Amino acid sequence: MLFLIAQATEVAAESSAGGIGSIGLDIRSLILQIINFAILLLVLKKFAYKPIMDILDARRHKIEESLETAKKLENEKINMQKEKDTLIKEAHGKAQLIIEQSKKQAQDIVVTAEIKSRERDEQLFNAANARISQETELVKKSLLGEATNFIAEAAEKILNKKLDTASDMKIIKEAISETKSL
Amino acid sequence: MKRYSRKQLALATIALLEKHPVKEVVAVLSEAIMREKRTNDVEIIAQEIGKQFLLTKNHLDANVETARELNPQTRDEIMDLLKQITSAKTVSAQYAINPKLIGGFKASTPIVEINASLVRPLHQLKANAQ
Repeated sequence: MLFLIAQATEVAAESSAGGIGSIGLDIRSLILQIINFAILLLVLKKFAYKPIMDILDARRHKIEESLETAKKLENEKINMQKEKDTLIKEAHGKAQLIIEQSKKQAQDIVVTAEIKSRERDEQLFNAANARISQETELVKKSLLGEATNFIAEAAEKILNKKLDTASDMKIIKEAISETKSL
Repeated sequence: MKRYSRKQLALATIALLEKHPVKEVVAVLSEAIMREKRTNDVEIIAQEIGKQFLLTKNHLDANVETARELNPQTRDEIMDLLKQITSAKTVSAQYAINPKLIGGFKASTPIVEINASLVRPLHQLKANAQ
């Protein structure tokens, strides 16, 4: 290869003796410098550029991952916040529902208790009324019985004393005619 | 020993009364009642005899109670009443004074009892009062 480069240098030197050489450039050294530069480029590419690029790629990759992670975390944070908000909203809703149900239950209990109380009062009132009526009837009956008994005994005594034979005969005749007419 | 029904005893008594004196018939009937140990039924048997008398002979035996002695006219009226009610041709009544009746009369026959005494409504009044 060096042989080929030397030949190319010679050819170039011969052809440039009249052209580029006129402006002060040494074509051979230029070519060598280009070759050197190319070799340097190859060496740099092989031993320096690639590792640096790998490092840069790795770093870039890492930064991207970090950004991605940060983005994910941000999203997760947002999602969590949303979930938290949703949960709080649900909890509020449930709490409100429980409070309303509790209020309704309390009202129902109060209404039921009032109805039961009213019914019990009515039952007690009716029972007391019935008992009073019953006792009143008993007293009335007892009084009536006593009065009737008294009247009967009094009538018996008066009739025994006052009824004479003539009146008795009259009563008998009346009874006979009443019985006949039956 | 055969046990006779009240109706059989009553009819036998009536048949005997047609041929024998009352005293003898009563003695025979009493003996039969004692023999059959039916002394508790005496009153019912007597009622049955009266009832059969009325059915076979159209004769009614009655017990009449009053608080005071009845005059003949009132007695006849009571007899007429009993005849009318029972359709009997003849009536023989036993009269008794019972001051507890206060007034009016009470006639008992084998088929019917008439209580037109003054004490009856008073007793009813007392009974209703209790």
